[in-house]
Amino acid sequence: MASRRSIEIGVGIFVVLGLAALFMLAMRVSNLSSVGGGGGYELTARFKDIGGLKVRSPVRMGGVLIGRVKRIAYDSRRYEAVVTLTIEDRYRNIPRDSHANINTSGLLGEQYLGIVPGKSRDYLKPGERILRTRSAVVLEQMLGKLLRLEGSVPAAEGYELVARFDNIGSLANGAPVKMGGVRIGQVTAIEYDRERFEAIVRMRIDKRYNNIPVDTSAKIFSANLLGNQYISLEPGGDEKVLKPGDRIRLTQSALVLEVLIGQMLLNKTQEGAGGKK
Amino acid sequence: MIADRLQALGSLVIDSLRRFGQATLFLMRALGGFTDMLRKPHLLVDQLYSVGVLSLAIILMSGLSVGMVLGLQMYNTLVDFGTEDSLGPAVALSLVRELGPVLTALLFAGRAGSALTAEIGLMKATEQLAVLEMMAVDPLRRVIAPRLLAGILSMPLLAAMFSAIAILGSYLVAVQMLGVDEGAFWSQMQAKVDLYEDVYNGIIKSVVFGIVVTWIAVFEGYDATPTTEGVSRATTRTVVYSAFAVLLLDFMLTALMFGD
Amino acid sequence: MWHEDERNPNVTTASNNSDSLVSLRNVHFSIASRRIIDGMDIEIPRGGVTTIMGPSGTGKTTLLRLIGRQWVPDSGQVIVDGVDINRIGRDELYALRKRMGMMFQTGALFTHMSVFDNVAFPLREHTHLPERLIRHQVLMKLQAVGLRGARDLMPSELSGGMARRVALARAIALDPMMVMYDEPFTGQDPITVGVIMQLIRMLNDSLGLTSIIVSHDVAEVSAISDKLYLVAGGKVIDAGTPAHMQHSDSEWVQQFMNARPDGPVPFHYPARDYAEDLLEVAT
Repeated sequence: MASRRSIEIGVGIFVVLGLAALFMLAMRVSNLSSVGGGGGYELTARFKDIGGLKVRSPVRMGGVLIGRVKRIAYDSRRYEAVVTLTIEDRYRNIPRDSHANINTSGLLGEQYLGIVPGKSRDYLKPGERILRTRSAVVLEQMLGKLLRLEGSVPAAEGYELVARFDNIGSLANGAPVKMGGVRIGQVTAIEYDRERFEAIVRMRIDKRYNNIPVDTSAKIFSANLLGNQYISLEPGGDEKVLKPGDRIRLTQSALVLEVLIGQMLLNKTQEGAGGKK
Repeated sequence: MIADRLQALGSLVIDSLRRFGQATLFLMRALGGFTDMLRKPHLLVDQLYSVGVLSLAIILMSGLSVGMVLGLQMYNTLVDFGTEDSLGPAVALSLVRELGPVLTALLFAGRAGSALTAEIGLMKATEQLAVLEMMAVDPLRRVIAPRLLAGILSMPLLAAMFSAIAILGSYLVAVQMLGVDEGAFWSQMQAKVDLYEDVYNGIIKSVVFGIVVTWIAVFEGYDATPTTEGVSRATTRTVVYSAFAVLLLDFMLTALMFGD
Repeated sequence: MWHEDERNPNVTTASNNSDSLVSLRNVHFSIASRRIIDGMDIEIPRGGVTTIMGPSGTGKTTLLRLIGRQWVPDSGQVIVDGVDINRIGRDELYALRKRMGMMFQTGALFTHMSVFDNVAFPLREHTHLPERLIRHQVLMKLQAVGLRGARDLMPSELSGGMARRVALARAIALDPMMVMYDEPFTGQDPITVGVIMQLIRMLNDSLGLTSIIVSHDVAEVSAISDKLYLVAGGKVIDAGTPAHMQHSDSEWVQQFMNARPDGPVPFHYPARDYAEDLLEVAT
């Protein structure tokens, strides 16, 4: 075994290195340097719904981290969530009329409390409450609202059209039918023609839109990269209009993502060459 | 036939419970010896040397290479999505929360744990523990307690060093060699890694691993059959049991700490 | 150096308690249902050298462990210096153990300490003497075993005999009332055996110790012991002075003392008839 002196030196180095590593993890790697553990002052805010906000979620103003959520409680008399924030001492000048919103950083990111400063010269004091708040947008509610809006097309007051596609992609019953981006109806039934190997899509169109030309084309598009598919009707120039039960003859099937970009280029050239206007 | 199997299972369970009970009593008595270290700090210093200092080389080497590999691999994945700026937090989080404590504990079991078992087992085989008993010196306080405390103290320090040097390693690869932006590397890391949520919990994990691995090592040594074969079996058991215990506990602790 | 007639005269009065430092009364002990000791009565007289002899594997070392309460008997009493050591608390036991020295078969030196530190260990552990006095004590004990010059060696640098002498110096470091020797002569060359024999007797007499030896080296222990116990099969076969044992009319004692290969302890491990055994293979 090594001599006493070298043992003690070795242990000394070991402890110093270990503490240095802990110090680095605290100061350089994590956010101790940006938000002190004890410092700062508190504000509160009340929300109907805080969504996925948690204790220690960031508080940002203009995107800059100025504090963290310290405590979350629920006021069961007023049915509100009470959020207590710790704000760093150097951000003392938050106007009294500021807004506190619960936002999400990016589509899939964590939720944070965003403060939008107001115009007042009167600043919030420690312990005071931010009066203007906007609750978290809950995805399910948002979807529900969309569905209610979309479901507002009365099924009875419409007429039916039919279209045939080679491939409908992931088009589903109830999918919207749009023209010029505006919703004019929805898909009511999808069946498969086993003789002609085609999908038959029935759609109900709001009766207000009863002037669709017979040479209109139906295309299956996606709402966005991740979104649902819908039928887009592109009106033609014919004088005659489609009658209830008629079939739309010009169709374009759903596109697979891999060929989407190529097809888009192709569409452009076709449209350009067609010169329908 | 089935009765035989059931009996075998039953006796296995009873034996395991008895052994766990023995190990717990053993731990309690050894913990009672922690106060002696205040009067005789050199006992602890000696063990910090053989448990901690002698494990430094393997921990630092492994940490550096794990960090460099992490940096390289994550860069290759992230660069496809154009998100190589989040390499810093990705590396730091996986190290501070999981890889640092877990890999350190596994390496520690292999380096220091097995050495502890072998040392104590040989002391038993050569009657050095019996001679202490006969000298009215409690081997649990005199031999086991300093080793246990040294293991418990060393583990978090070693894990912190592992994580720190691994982050430096990934910094070397990602920033210096592959051209990730240095500012983004550190600032994203600081924005994402939370001192309490991540660093403290990582330290708590490594303290738990330190207790469990050292406990297994000293108990296996103390409980070893005092023969050459017995000691070598005990050494193997230390490494295997420690690895199982660390992986299982890591899962449980992760679920407790990060799974809300 | 010593003569037969100088030996302690009360050795044969085995039941005289006040003269006994250690008494074992009807002790039973078993490990995992194997009977090691099956009702033994042993009296170790104060101030003498008592040897417990017997074939290998008959629980001689176990006796020493029972006397030191490293192990606890299933039944019976172990009385050391007037106290039943299985009825006292840990602190009392440790206080008693400080007055017992033990030399283990292999020496059991602490491998990571020098010879000096090994001998100093019990002093540093149990006394608050300044280092200067500890040094005096250690050198005195090492001088007694003739190894003062080897004080800076590590145990790995010692021969087997030297290791045992260091262990002996360590066993007497706290000036105990008794020393137990576990197989002190096993595996040593004749010179070392002679040295250890002389040391045991000399230390016993000059320090006023009581010595308990466990051994099966008949000639050596006969030469230095005041009293012999012969144990086998977990029981005491016979006890008495070496002269008494030499002339015992027990066949058993005769076989052991004179090292005869066959006798009450059979040469053959129990087996069925030899011819029968051979025939079975043939058929």
